[in-house]
Amino acid sequence: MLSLHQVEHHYNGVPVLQAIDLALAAGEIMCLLGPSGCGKTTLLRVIAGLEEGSGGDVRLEGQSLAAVPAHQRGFGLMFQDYALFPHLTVAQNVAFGLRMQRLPAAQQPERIQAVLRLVGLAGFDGRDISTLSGGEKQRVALARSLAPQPRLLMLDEPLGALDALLRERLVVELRDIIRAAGLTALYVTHDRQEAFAIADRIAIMNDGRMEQLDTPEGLYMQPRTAFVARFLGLNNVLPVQALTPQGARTAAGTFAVAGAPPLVLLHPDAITLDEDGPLPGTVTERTFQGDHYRMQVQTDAGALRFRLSRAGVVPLVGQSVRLRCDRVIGLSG
Amino acid sequence: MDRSRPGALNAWRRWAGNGVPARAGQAVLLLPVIFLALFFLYPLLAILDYSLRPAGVVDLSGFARIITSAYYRDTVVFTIGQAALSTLFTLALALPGAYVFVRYDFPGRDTLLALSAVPFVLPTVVVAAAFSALIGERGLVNSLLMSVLHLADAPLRLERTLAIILIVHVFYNYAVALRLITAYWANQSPRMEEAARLLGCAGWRLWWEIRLPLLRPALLAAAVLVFIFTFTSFGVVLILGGVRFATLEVQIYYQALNLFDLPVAAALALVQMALMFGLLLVYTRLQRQMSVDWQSVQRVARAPRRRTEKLFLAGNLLLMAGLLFAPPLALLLRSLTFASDRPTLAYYLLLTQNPRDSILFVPPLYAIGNSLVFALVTLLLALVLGVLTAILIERRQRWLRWLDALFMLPLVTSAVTLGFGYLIALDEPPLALRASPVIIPIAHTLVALPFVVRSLLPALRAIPPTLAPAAVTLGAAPWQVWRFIRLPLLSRSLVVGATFAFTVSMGEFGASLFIARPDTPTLPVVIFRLLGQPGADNYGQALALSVLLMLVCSLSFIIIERSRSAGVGEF
Repeated sequence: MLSLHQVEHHYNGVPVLQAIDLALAAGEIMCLLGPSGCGKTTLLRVIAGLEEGSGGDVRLEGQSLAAVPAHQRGFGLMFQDYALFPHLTVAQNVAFGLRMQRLPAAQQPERIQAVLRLVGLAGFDGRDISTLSGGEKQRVALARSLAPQPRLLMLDEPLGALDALLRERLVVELRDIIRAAGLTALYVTHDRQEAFAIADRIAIMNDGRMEQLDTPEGLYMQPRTAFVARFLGLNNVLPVQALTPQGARTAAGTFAVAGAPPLVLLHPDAITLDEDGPLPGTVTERTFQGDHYRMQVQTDAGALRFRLSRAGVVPLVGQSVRLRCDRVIGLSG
Repeated sequence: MDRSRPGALNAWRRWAGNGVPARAGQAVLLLPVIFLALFFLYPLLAILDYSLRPAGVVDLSGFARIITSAYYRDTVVFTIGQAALSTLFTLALALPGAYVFVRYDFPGRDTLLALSAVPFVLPTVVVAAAFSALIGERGLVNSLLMSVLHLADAPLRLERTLAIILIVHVFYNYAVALRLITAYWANQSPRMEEAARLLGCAGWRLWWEIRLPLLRPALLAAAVLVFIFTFTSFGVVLILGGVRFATLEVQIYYQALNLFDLPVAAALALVQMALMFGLLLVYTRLQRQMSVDWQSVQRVARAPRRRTEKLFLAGNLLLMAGLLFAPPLALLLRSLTFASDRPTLAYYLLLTQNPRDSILFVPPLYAIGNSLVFALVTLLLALVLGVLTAILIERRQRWLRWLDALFMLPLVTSAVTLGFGYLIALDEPPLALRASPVIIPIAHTLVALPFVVRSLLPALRAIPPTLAPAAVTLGAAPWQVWRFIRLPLLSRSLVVGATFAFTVSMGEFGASLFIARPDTPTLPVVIFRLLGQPGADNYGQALALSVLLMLVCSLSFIIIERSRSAGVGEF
């Protein structure tokens, strides 16, 4: 439905976005995930028409949007700080887009009520914006972008201003609302848990480039670059010392990998304690996390992190152990 | 001493904090209050009393004449009307100007915004002379038109019209509105406007639905402020308006000094004070609304890109530069070229002479000496009283809270009212100061005091309260705390305050016109008299004196801008 072709953006000569290609299917929720400053918000603004791209093309159903100004694109954008209009009430904020579309006044109340019910704010119509809590403001902002039935809904860190507990609950709610409305959505966040919870597919961005685009499971199981692995919390990345016929040789042993990667990832999910394992080390961290322990073992190849189930034997800090890893993935730099 | 108890620490601070032993300190601190009571409240009360009982018995005929006469009604209508028009034009020009400063980045942006404050420090007589030199009958534009079009008479006749009054009012207040709106606007999140655009809002609807409603508090505050300033306009209307136009201020002056109808003047002054007080209440209210905290402050200024943007920017900058720089430049140019085609210092040289048929008793140059002496005395008085006032207000004791407001009152009390009050109150024992030249620096000090206090207060409040106890434990006597700790920390603010006081005194016109004695006229009064006289020599000398006064004030402006660090000074 929406496709990006080699989109570029420069700010004062500094590249902010470089050669971004992306395609969204109708009804899909896609996440742009990356650290702050990676260009994900800028990409959103280029798609919205708030920033002019310095190159490339944004197309909707195959039609270029280059000549279409922001107010005619029919996209919804929910801002991180919500950007609610402080001079209007809740209902007037929600009605704003309808008025701009010149929807007959008689039809407006019904649409407003429906949207307010959808976000769980029935009865808030006449409330002043300044009297709302953070979570309520977030819902009004969502309702305002939903009301005109946008062709594409974009959300820029919509939960960023809320505390962690509320965020966990709202992200599921947000997904259900977007699904219920049958919308195509582009969701920007720096929080991988949020991205995992909401997205059909995730595009991980770094330094203005797209690092990898895949489903949450695909990214987690098969990261392609060291950046993606580390950003997803997969930290056991080791340099490859040499490529031998047996595979890539590292300080932790030689592993069979495809291609000629400069780095490998020892996937933490596949690290286990094994008395006959090839990797000797000493436990340096053992943190109780409820259903599992977070472990860190110092080996000759460096510190390796992994989880241990509460069910088995959990060695103490200072104890010597041997490890094995059954899933080693080659990474590009 | 028990340092763990805040009460004890506060008591200690109160004692050591002022740097003077308690009882003597209290007495010294009362000086500003006494000064204000004698030279501000007493004269105003005298006007009140006089308006109700001109001859000792209750007699409201002054009010009766104001109410029944169409003439005075016209004065009130004109005062309000011209103020409303001035406000409208000022805002209409300042709003696009503010847009330019908020949205566009261009070379010289910050300098231009700083320079826009220049009209603040220019005395009314100088501005009147400058506009006369630019677009008056004897001005630059007319003389150019006459030589180009070979005309015998000046084609542009703006003097003694409403138009020139409005133009000068816009000149004075454009920057006031521009800065107020720009500051408010720049602190607003640009996201609201973007959200509106994505919801389908563009063009004029963006202005109408989003920008104007969001700017409402700033627009209203600017409007009320400009209205207050132009409502009390005196010098501009008196000098450029001619006899046809009179604001309440000008009418008070005519009634008191030309027609000697003191009861009517007193009644008019009372009407004026009441209206001003009401406006002031509105303004304070609005100002409180202005302090709304916005979520995120982001600079959205960027270089203009499209042709229309560039044209819009250029148009606004041209207007601003024209408004700011053309009048002063015309004044300078005209003072050198009015006499002949080639630049000459003839009028400057004439200033030293005192021809027999002069309307003045002294050579004009003497007025500069008078003004300098008055300004220096004012500087000293205002600085001493200002420091004491700031200390008094800074203590924040509950019963002192109203003092802050009280010491701001002279700022909104018109100088003409003050001068008129002196005329009535200080003419007889116990305070028969009318004949003494001391009365001028006293009046100027009152006008300058709010500026000095406003410059000092933030700096005084910024001094950490633990510094004084720290110095005392190191062996500093209370006076040494002042000498080595506080005064050095206050030095920049003291320079700003002193410069303000000096500048205010040099340019003060309304009160001086009432109280300056014929043999010791101030510079603005002499310029006014010269401007009112026929003859090229008088006009030329007025221009020359105005240039000198303008240079002094510009120098002050530079000193103030240099000494004022960002964020210091609450206005």
